[in-house]
Amino acid sequence: MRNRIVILLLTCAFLSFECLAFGQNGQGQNGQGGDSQGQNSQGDQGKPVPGAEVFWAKGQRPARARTNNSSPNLLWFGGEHHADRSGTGYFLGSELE
Amino acid sequence: MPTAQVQAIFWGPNWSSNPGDKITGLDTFYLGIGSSDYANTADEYCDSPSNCVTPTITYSGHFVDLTTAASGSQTSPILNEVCKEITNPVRNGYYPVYVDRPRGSAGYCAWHSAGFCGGVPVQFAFFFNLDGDPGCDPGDGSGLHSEGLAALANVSGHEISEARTDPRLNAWMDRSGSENADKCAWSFGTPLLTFSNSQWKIQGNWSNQAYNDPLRGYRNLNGQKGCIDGGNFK
Repeated sequence: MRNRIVILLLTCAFLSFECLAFGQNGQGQNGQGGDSQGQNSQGDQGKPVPGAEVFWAKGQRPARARTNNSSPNLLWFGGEHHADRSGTGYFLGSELE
Repeated sequence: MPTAQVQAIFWGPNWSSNPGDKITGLDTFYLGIGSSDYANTADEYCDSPSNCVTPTITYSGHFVDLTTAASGSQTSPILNEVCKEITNPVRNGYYPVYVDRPRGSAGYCAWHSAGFCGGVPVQFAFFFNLDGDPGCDPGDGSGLHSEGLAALANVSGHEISEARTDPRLNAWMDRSGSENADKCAWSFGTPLLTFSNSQWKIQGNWSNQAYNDPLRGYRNLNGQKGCIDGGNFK
């Protein structure tokens, strides 16, 4: 009797493991497929030259996210537009001895 | 960039056999753009109150490389060409690369980017040969330039305006990623803009100040009245 219970528990554990593994595998494949498709379609409609800002020919600009409810004005995103800026160090305080 | 030092590169074997008026014309364009009212259209953009874009643009001439040009589908071959030709790059350098290849099926006329030559940050841009390309033609009916030169001048104005306000692709743009010239692409306010030495048909650039001022600016293709060009719209 005790052996039957052990075998039953082992069988249930094995089946549960298989179900979980199958579920994860299936979800992973679908997820990867979806992500991959998303990246491809993003790539087709997004920047055709990675790392560049392109000037689209007439009528070729991809549709972008609508920003009707926000200002169309330019914003500063924190990057330098002063690539030629150079720094000078100033040392304040008492002279080191 | 508060100031820009420009050197152009003409890349491809056809620049020897069939340059037309494009090399001399673009030399004239870059020699004249500095201190123009068109260049002033970017001077409201700053990264601190005392550090703003200025219309100071200097041109040091061009190089011609008659080897086969890259296609422009990637930035690295164009950056390599810049680093090969420009032996003394500078931090505020802007290096437009004009290839002799037509656009073909590419959806864009030009692009700009940034990188490093020997550890020096540089700004550069790529331009197709736009001869006979209606998708990149500004429709300059002045008769002053060939169609191909007029097209390159318009896209050159677009790219240098963006390189001056967003040189490292992380400074000034709107929430959707459009830069100052993107927002006024294919939208022209003044028939011909005047430089110190020439006249050109060039699209305007977005101005936050003009958009917020009902007396200034003209409309872009989205109907937003924020474009200025330094001509009739300052």
